[in-house]
Amino acid sequence: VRDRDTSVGFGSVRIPEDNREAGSHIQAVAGLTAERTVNLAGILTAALGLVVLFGYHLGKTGLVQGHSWLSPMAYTTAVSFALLGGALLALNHGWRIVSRTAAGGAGLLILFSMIEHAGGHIPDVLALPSVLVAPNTAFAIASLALAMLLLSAGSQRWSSMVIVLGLLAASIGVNAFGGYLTGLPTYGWGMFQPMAIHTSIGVILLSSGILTLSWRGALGNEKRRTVWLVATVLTGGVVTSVSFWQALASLERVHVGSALRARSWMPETVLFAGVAVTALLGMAVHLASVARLRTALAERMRYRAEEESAQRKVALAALTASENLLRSVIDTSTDYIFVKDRNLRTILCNQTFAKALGKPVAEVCGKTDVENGWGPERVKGVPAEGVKGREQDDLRALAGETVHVIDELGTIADGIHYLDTVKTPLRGGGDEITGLVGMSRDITEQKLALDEIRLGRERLALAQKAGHSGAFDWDIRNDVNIWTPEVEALYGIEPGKFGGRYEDWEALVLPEDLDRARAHLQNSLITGEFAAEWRIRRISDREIRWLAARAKVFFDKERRPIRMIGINTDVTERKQAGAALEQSVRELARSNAELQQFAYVASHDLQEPLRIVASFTQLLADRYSDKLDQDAREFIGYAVDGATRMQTLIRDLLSLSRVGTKGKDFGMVQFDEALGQALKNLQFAIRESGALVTHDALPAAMGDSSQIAQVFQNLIGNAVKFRGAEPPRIHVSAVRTGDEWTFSVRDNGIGFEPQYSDRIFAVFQRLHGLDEYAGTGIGLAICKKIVERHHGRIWAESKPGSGSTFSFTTPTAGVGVEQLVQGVETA
Amino acid sequence: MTNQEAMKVEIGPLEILLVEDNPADVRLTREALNSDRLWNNLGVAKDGVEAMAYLRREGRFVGVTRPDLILLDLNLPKKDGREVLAEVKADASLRLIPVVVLTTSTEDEDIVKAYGLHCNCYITKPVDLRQFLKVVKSIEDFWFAVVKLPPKR
Repeated sequence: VRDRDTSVGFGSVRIPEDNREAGSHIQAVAGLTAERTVNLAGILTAALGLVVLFGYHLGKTGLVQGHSWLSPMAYTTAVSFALLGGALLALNHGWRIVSRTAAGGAGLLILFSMIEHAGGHIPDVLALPSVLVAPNTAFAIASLALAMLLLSAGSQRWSSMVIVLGLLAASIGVNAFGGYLTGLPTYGWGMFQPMAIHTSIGVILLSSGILTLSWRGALGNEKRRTVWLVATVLTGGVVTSVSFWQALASLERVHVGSALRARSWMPETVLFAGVAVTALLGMAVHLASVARLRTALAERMRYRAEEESAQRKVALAALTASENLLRSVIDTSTDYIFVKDRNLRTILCNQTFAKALGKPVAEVCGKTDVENGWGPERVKGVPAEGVKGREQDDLRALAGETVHVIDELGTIADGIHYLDTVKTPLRGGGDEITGLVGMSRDITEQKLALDEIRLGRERLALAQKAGHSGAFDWDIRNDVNIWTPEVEALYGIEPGKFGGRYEDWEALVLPEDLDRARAHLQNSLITGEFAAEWRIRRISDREIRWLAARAKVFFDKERRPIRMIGINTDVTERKQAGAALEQSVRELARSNAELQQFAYVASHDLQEPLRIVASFTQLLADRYSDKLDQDAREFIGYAVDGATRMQTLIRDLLSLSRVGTKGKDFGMVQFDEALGQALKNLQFAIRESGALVTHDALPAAMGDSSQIAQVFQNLIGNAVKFRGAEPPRIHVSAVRTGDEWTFSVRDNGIGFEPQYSDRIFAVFQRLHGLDEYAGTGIGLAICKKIVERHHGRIWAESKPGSGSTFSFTTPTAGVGVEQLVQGVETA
Repeated sequence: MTNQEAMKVEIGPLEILLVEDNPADVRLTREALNSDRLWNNLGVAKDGVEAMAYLRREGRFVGVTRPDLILLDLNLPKKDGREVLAEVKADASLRLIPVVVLTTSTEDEDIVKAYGLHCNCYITKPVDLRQFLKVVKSIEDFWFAVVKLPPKR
């Protein structure tokens, strides 16, 4: 910053605020005193003039002359005093016209007087007693009038002149007054008429008024004050010297004239001495003033310097604050911020940038990218392979371009990152490019996420293809339905050819399915869930296909549907498979019903005729027994027996079929309870045969408890039935092997040949004649069927005469599949 | 005269309606009731439609006496026994007549259903002739000697 004030001179040196205030205060006080002084001088002078004029007109010489040996005040002088006193008062009050007129009038009178002195004649128009005045009085009054005129002009230009004129008059007045006091004839010029004593008082009063006014004007200005002082000293000194010189010279002439003394050079000596002293005094005053000024100036300069230093400190603090602000701002950013000079040296960077390089900021600054450890191939590029380096972007920025680099590869401490970088030219004060500013954002995560999304999209596309599905996104408000190419493929449309409006979709749906699909869609706009199936005629091959849709509807705050997103799936194959399954289920259900029907027919309709046959044969035997011979009775016996046995067979067959159809759902079966039930059912046979049945602790397992009891009942019943000579000994045991239980019923009965161990489980297979052991041979077949229903096995081990062991297994865990099969069968 | 016979005399001849499509069974039933020929009067309907006509004395059954007891087989042509049972028990003028279901079926389903339709008892026809005769006899004895029937109108 250049100091613009050094070339400025005194005049415009500004007083510091507080000093100026003090100055203006002093000025104000001085101004007030000056005003009173001037008023007093004006009033006194005017009064003096008027008193003398009264004296002339009333003929009182006392008023004009004071004392007979004193000189009288000239009439013209008295008029001039009256005028000039008024002029001074007017001047003090700012009435310039009045002041000018009065001063001008006084000046004119004195001019007339001077012309008369010079031998001219002025006609006595005013009939005044005399216009003649003493020459020193005339000179003094002329000076005063002129000074007053100049003052009333109000210009600063004449201020020095005013001072000189005022001082001239003052000196003349003081000399004259001094002459009267000292007796030296300094009150007159040579042989001319002398100035009256009261005239001298008037002159002193007027000149002091004028000087006061000019002093007041100079108060605010150091230079004018100095001029004023020097002029005062010089003028006062010179006029006084001249006065004394004249006074001494006239005295000498009187003495020389009386020849009492020889002429001396004393008057001249006094003159020169006076002038010399005056000059020295003037110089001294000037020097003192200058010194004072210098001191003041130095004071001001020191103050200025202090002020500037304070300002500089403030500015420096502001600069530091602004630098701190910049640093905080850039350090707050997670982006990499850097500034490079024209030599591509980093001159400023933020913490993030430095941290990426693993160095402090200070170490990063002043170095190029390569020096900072970035890979040279990334910085400079590999021109041979056409790989553009980062430096090229820097150079473009230095050429004045704003460069935006997306996906810039950067090696950060933990590996390769993707950066989004903007570089702009940095301009100096003269708009020249001094470097570049760069900002890089790490977009690695976004980029990886984007890649992930892209990959996900590809996977989705694959999944859609594999699942014969496609996704759609319907903007309901604007009726824009976006279909993935997969959906279009489902409809047999070329990719991108779907119109995207609701009507375009309706046109594709098979007309007979449209109402249903539409109803589902309408419903979904309320419920938010869309699930429907409809058929289309595929555009590409005119084939009818089943499509299923599942979608979610999105609503706005007023619950108006705005968007539907979902998938379409080709379910034709599933539908066909479903239809086939449905067909099988229907057939199964029908065959089941037929079986039921058969069972019913077997139980009722087949038995009915047998009953009739048996009944009437018996009726025949009863009613006609006396008419029938032995043979006839025997034949009738066989017929009845056959019919009865056939009824039993049918009933047994029915119970066998009921193992599958009438079985209950599986539950937890306590096998000892099931055994207990069986023994209870067999209690008469057991008691009659004297059988002893023992058993191990039996477990619990999943099954149909009444059927398990049936198995125990049949096996133990057989053991009792096929007993030997000994009373039956029967033991029921349970052994766990792996995940199944093996239950065994061992007896000491007649046993059987091992080769029949399979055959005995077949329906109606018997090993003995009907006359030996009763029964249809259904019991073991029923056992086998029940055990198989429980996913177990049944077998028998025996030898004739050494008893038999019948064993069956059941899984330890429950069987869920059974219930499913059960469900299908009963459906 | 036994006590029973005295009671039979007292209430007059019993009107029985047998609803049975099998003539052999009709004959057997008639055989079983024959011993008391004087005290009962057996009407026969061959199917459900006929049974309802008989009960409502319509068509060729105009003038028949309303039965005191109905012996009802379940499996009948045209309208089967279950429907007849339901109609009888739904008809205010017929529902007081006791209905004995007499059938060969031993199906639990049939038994439960018959009682559900408010049959008064369910009897399975025994295979054995003697058993059958005994059962029919006991039906007669039970309903006409033991049970107090609603008064005739």
